[in-house]
Amino acid sequence: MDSNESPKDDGSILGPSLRFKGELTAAEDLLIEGQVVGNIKHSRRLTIGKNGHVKAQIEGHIVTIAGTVEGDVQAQTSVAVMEGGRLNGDVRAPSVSIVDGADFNGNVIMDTSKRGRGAGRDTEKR
Amino acid sequence: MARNIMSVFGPNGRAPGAENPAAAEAAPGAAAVAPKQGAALALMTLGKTLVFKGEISADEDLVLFGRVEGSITHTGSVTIALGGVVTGNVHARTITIRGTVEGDVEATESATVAPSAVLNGDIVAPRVSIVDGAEFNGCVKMPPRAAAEAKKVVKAPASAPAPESKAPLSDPEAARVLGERSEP
Repeated sequence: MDSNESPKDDGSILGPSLRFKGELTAAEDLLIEGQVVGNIKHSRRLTIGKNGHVKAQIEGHIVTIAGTVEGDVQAQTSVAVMEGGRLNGDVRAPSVSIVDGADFNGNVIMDTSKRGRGAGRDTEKR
Repeated sequence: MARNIMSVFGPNGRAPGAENPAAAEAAPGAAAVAPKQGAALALMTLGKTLVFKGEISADEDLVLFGRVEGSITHTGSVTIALGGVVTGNVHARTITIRGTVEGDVEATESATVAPSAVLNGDIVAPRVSIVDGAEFNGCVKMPPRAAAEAKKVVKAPASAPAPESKAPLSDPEAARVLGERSEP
């Protein structure tokens, strides 16, 4: 049975019709295209897709925002706000990138001392 | 990166038979095979490590490998895959259980309890099948089919996604989020 290969390879996608309120934890790549209200705790690559709308405190490893996020984002490795992405909240990560065309209101706190270690851990995991 | 995201939602075909519960029943592995092609809009897979605490609602067909602590309100088909655990009530059109459910299950069309399933709770559905080998403690209520059909007919015009989709997130906060989203 190949039940163990599919979700792991692709990660999970929360589709556009999904609405979730509460606490979400995951340890696999995750793409959110739906609406999430609450908290997200994540230990791998988290992407808020273009249709994604998240009103939550986010804790992740690598966070990419192409949709809308209202809330603070904390990442162990990096946070990227893509073109078209909207973020209202503070960002705390060793590496932060905001692409031209992104909409961002908030503080950035970069703890660069963690940068090397965070990256190393990421390669280890892969 | 953005390109990747787009490709996930590109016009890939629907997983053939993914929306057909009978096909999934025929091959126990079907639910697991589907996600790759079905990663398009039609089918949503919630992976093993996902833990939801709270309310979920959705319209896309859903295959759950992870854990949900709370309720699921769905307008399509929900499959709790082997390894999936739900602690809470499940409402959907068709429900297939291969994993564990602690809570009541209410399907407007049919509910299937597969041999690998553990269900502690009641089932309400016009069509119910419990396959030999399944663990089930609870009661089954089958609303008369005629009544169910009549209900469907009455409900059909109103079943445009909008009103139904709002019901599960009645909380003002969620309503605000939805409101904001639809404005721009």
